[in-house]
Amino acid sequence: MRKPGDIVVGLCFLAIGIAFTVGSVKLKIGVPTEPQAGFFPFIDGIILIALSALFLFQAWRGRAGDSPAFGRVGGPAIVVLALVLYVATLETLGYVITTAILSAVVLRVMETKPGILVLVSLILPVVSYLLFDRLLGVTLPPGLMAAIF
Amino acid sequence: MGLFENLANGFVVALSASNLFYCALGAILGTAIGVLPGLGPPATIALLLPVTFRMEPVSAVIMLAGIFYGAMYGGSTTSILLNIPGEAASVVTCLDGYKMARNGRAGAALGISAIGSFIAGTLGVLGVSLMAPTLASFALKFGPPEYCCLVFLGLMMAIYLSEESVLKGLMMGALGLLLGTVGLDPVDGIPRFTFGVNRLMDGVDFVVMAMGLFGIAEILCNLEAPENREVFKTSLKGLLPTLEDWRQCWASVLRGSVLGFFIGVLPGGGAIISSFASYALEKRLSKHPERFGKGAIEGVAAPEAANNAASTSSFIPLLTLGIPGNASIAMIFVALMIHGIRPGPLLLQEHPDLFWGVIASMYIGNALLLALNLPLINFWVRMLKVPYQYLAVIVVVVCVIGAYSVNNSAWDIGMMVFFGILGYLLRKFAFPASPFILAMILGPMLEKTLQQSLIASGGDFMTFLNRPISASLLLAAGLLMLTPLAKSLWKKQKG
Repeated sequence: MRKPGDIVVGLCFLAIGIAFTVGSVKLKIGVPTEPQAGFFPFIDGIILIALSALFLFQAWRGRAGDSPAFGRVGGPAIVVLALVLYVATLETLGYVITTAILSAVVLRVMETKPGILVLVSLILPVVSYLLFDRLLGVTLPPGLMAAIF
Repeated sequence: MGLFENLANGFVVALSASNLFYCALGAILGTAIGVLPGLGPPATIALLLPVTFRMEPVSAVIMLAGIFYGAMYGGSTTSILLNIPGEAASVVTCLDGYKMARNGRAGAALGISAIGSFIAGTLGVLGVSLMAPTLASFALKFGPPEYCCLVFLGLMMAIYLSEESVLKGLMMGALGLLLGTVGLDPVDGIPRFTFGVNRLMDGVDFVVMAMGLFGIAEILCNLEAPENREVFKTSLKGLLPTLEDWRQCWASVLRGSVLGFFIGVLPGGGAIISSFASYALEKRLSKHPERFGKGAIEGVAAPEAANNAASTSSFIPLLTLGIPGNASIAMIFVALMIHGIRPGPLLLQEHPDLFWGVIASMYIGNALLLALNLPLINFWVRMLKVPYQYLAVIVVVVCVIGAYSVNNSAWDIGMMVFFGILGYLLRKFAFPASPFILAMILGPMLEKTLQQSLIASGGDFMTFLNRPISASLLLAAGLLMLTPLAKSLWKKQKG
């Protein structure tokens, strides 16, 4: 059976192959006796284009092979969003606050009871901060909690 | 120095208080990871890579190796008691192990799996001690063309043996090679595909990428469906197999150990294939194949022995040729590179303490694992009752701390999230991650040796075919790639 997802994936690989091939031409390919910076990525880009074309052909004929179905994608999507916000706010808000929020989101997605959720979200960031920052010497951003930590 | 003298020196290194501690820590962590479904050895090793930054290289590798082979011991517990493999190499143990548990023989199944694993692990380490130095001295004769073809063959084998779809494996390999070119060109120092981002000058960070591809992606996949774990209630008494059990399966343990050892040496071979291959072999050799799948003790003993022997022997290509054969070993490769140590034929000469120390630690680790597994089985079973959400949230927190600690920058967490999403999507479309990461790691070596070979031969591609070793390696790679095509033609002709 032809699956649109496979075709989209094939097109993504094809686009990456083309982008790298074009990029390596700009870098200069050189000749086999004197290969330049673009030589290896050029060969590899061409190979990826050929493989992607073959995959697209198979996908079009519905022979791209089986793949596991997507389950409930809401959970992973929420956690990814939380991680993106984590990256954006880590330096400003600090490790403890952002990690507390991130932990709460992960636990909420996994349907943890509210009491345990609050407890773990409060304890885990503080304990991990003390363990990694104070004990193991990993510098974590204190942010708004600089006065306390 | 002779083998025994070298090994004795290795034991001196491995038996130091700190290395003994890291060996035990690795073995315990590995067993725990093997027991807990949902977090495999590559993910765990990736998560712990940042922790090894401040450790001695020998201690770091001893701990990471302990995690890898420890997981093989632990993986069988969930297969036998839950019918859920703790890690992929224990899938086949479910077939007879779970049936044994249902027949009230869970104790014997767990016992034979632990003892069989110990025998195989020890035989595997003995094999590594004997084979690795010979292979390393042979590899010293290799020039750039031989190395180029060896890396190419290694990649092709990893692609061919690791997954069902060779085309998807090849695409992932090609993508990995391309991403491996991001950063400064190794010859001229020209920035490639960095888009003006200074942080990409050194290339994509392996630690960050591995934590995303294995750690975050694994969590995202597990978030999709709530798990259903139900430990099979059975008697765990009588863990030592009876004499009758031994009579039935001693040969299976030995056969599994030998088969597993040789499959493990092949790049991409590893523990998963060896367990399936040894199960198939036992079934074929058995006078009563109908017993298999219904609780045959040989069906537990052989694959468990095979996956342990394979996990040990998969260190051979890493330590002697500098070629990691699977994702877990690739992580150990990265750990060595972080400490400025290049795995390969010169490792034995330049860092004999590391080489022999790691091998000796495997002997110790195997003994520790036997001591841990049998008396602590009730503890591991109790650990299975810990809800998965606690593990998930700890993994996420360790991932963000690990990624941040690489350069003390939120950028690396962003990169990790990017690779986490990529890894999640790749799993959903059944694209294997292992060829990607192996290609990224081996890409710079492939590029360098290809360029050196071409420059030395005046741009003549025939240089790879004019030299007997490189020609044989290329021929093997070619045959490997043609096999799926030949298979499909054969099927068409038969059909």
